[in-house]
Amino acid sequence: MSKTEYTVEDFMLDPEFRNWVLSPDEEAKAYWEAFLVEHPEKYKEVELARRTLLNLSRSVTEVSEHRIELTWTAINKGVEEAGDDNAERRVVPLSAETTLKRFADRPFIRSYRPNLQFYRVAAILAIAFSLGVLFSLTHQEAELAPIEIPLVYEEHEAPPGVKSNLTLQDGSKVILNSGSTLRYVKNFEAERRELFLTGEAYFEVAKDSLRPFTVRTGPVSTTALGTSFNISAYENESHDVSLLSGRVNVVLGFEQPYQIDLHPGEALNVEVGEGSHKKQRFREEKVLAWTKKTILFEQTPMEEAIRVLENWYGVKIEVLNRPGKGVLLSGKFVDQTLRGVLEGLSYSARFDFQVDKDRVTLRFDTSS
Amino acid sequence: MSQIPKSNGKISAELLWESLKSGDKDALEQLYRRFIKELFRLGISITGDADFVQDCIQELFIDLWKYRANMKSTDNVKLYLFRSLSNKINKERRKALRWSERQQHVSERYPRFLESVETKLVNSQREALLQKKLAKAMNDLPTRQNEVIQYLFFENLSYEDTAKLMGINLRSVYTLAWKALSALKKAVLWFAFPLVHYLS
Repeated sequence: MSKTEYTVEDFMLDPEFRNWVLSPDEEAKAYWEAFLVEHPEKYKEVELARRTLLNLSRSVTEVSEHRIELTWTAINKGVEEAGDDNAERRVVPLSAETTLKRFADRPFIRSYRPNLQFYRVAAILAIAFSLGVLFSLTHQEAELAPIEIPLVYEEHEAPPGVKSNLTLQDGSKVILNSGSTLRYVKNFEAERRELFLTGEAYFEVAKDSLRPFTVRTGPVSTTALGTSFNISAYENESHDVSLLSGRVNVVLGFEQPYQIDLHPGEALNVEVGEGSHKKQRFREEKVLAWTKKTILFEQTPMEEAIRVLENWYGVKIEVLNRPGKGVLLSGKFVDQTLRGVLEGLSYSARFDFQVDKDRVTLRFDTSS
Repeated sequence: MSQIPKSNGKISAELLWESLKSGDKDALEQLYRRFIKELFRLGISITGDADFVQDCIQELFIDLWKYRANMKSTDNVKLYLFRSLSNKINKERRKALRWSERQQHVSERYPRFLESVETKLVNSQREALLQKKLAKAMNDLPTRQNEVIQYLFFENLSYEDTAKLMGINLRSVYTLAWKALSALKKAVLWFAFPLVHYLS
């Protein structure tokens, strides 16, 4: 059927049309605009289809955690009962004798099993029913709490030892480093895209000139329109904003607010505690190493290196005989095991190490 | 100890499915936890009755365990679960209707909120009243018509998957959806235009 014969319903059923209405891209836009220019008589149908589609809604009920747990308890009960049953059925007769035996037993089993099955089912239903009654008596209120639609926050957390790749609803890509959290209003708000970050993340921002993309890390806000940049903002460390392409504007919300524009290749290094900042050049290799499974230390203070390793591998590191003056560590490790990294570092920094599951002990050599 | 963890530490549902088949009870629980919210959401939006859906889901998972040895492998666990739930609901419903009319009334007890098809665009493009009206119209659709809209528009399944899921052929999916949309369209027209305008 050609699109000129489309009814309102046909438009809505056309996946390409749906794409255009719900997640338009340049190509779809051009296509349907051309279609409308050629067939202006279809405008009414197209508009009605678009409006219906945009507003198509279903009412959903969010089930409470309680219901989820109760349901699982009931299933578990049922599973335990069924488990035995299954085990019996799986006996495989190995010899003729056992086969015969099995058939000899059969009439007996036959009269017995359905009964047992009946009681089992009855028991399961009884348990489920009483749980249901109990539930509706005790927990009705919990489920009655109204759910607010506006400003639902979405939170992504990459625990230590895990990195995660996200694509946001607007098409922006984010790589979240270990031990980091990213929070934002679900689907973003109408006039801005605002995200809250603790830890480190790399952003590739999808272009949307009407909605600036702002990442807030404490008092530092980084705003972009369509760029890629990396932000490292772990607690108790300096906040670094490194720009790879495009342009960003950073606002420092200290007592004296301050605005800085960054150009590609520039990084802003903010000491949040002191309220000071400096601009410097950065090397892409170093800043983005973490997105390429690479740990890169270049004269890195030991405290920072330990934080990196703890996050990266999801371990706790304890230091014995901590040397008085600051130790700086250097080394590059691509896709290495924790042991490999520690081994590499131990020679120059002079320490022994022990790995016991997720606990690591570094013991510095004090003789020197 | 593998030092570089996978980018998202999740085991795929399909792998869990295989473990379940070989008798791993943890896999059953993990599958449950992974899909339970979606299953409830789907079930409730089809039937409007949380208790009823809970019963169906319970039976569904107990059945999964009981018949795990005979289950086929699947490359889409979610679809399989949706299909099983849809079957259960339709079967139980036919049974339930015979002796009770407890349906529909129950639904009023639970809070509900609207979920829209459109998630990528800005809120301001939607019209709240019209959304309510359409959600109501969805509820009033016959079950199978309601179901087909859920799958195609809210779960974003393809026509092929929807056909498989509902156990009908592609042509019927299309016809069913067409009928449902036709009813929904009417809701918009009544809402939006004076009657005369529409008839002209």
